[in-house]
Amino acid sequence: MTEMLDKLAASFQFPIVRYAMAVGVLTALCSSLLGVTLVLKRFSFIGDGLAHVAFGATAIATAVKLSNNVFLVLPITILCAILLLRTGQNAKIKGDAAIAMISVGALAIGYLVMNIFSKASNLAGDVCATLFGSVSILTLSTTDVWLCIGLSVLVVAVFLLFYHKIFAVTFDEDFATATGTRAKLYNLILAVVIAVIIVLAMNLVGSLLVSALVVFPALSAMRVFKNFKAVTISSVIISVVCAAFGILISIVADTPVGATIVAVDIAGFFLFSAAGLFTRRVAG
Amino acid sequence: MKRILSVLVAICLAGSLLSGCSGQGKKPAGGVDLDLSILGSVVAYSQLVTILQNSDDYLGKTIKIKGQYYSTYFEQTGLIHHFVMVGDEASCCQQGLEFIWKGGYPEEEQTIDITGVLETYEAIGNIYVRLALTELTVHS
Repeated sequence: MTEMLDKLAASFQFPIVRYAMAVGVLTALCSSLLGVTLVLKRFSFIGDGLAHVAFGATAIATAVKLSNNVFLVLPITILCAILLLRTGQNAKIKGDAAIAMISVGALAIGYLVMNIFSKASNLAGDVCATLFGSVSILTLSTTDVWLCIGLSVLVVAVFLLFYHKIFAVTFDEDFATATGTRAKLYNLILAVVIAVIIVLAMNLVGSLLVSALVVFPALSAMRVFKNFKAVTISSVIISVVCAAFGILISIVADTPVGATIVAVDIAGFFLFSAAGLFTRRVAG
Repeated sequence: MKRILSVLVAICLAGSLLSGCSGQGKKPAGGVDLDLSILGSVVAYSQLVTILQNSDDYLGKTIKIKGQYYSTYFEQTGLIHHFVMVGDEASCCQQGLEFIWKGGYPEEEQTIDITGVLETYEAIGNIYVRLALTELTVHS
């Protein structure tokens, strides 16, 4: 136990570990905020699709040697999010098919571009790091951290300022439109915010595991709580605690950061499922 | 007002999480600026990558690293170059750092602890980074 604490204390002497914890907590907070809305709107898998788009865009940004990938990855991901969320209902290729098409298409193009243009000697390692976020979160620069803080503040601000509108659009879009809420505009805002979250979360858990950050905290909270506000607040708490524990376990046990966070999220889901079962039995 | 307050709280939280991030930590005993040998493999690998990506910030610093020894002959320089390799537990990612040592070199793939000062050198028209060792210990 003392050895583990010593290892943690030694690790936290290094800025990269403190950056990882700060970015991890902020990313978990943002992803869980919108996670509830995505799960309720039955868009759980959109995170996966957008993350694959972000992977493809990252590969292209690397190929054209951009100094900061975010400036290409973010606009492309936002564009795809708008295409998927806004035109999903009227498009000829509907919801799940469009997500599947964009998802695998971007993944394949990304891997192809990386193979053709990358001069890195450790291509498998690069792909592994981008897909599973094995150590990406631990190699952040100060610019990355401040960018994450800025984007996180933006996401939290948008959610708090438009909370009631997001609530209305989440539960009954048609009713919201009929009562004068500009549902299309709020869907557009949601699409942009979701894209920002996906790009942020890719650093933490990699593009294949992003959906877990969006879905698990919301589903865990829904096992116990039954109203939107309570589910959202508890989802945020679960997500932040799981991310922090995941990073700490990863440092102590030398496990991949992204996969460890998702494993803790899964454990949290089972814990809350058991708690939900228990409270229902006691109540009924 | 309540919402604006919440946003301000969020900004303060982010700021407090990062407080003290700019420093490199206290200088450990023995004159070593950065001791990567006491870290787990995931953090040690990540820190080594950070050092190499921002090598200008670390030039002249004394660094201690634990890893596996490898050597390879480069035709361009006509010399044998020596490396310490640090990888994560799953060997998904590995990073090497070149070093020079005045004493005898260990056998290939032996686990070593090395301490030295980070410096640059010029070869075949390029600038490279390496560790000039003051200490090398081979693990049995």
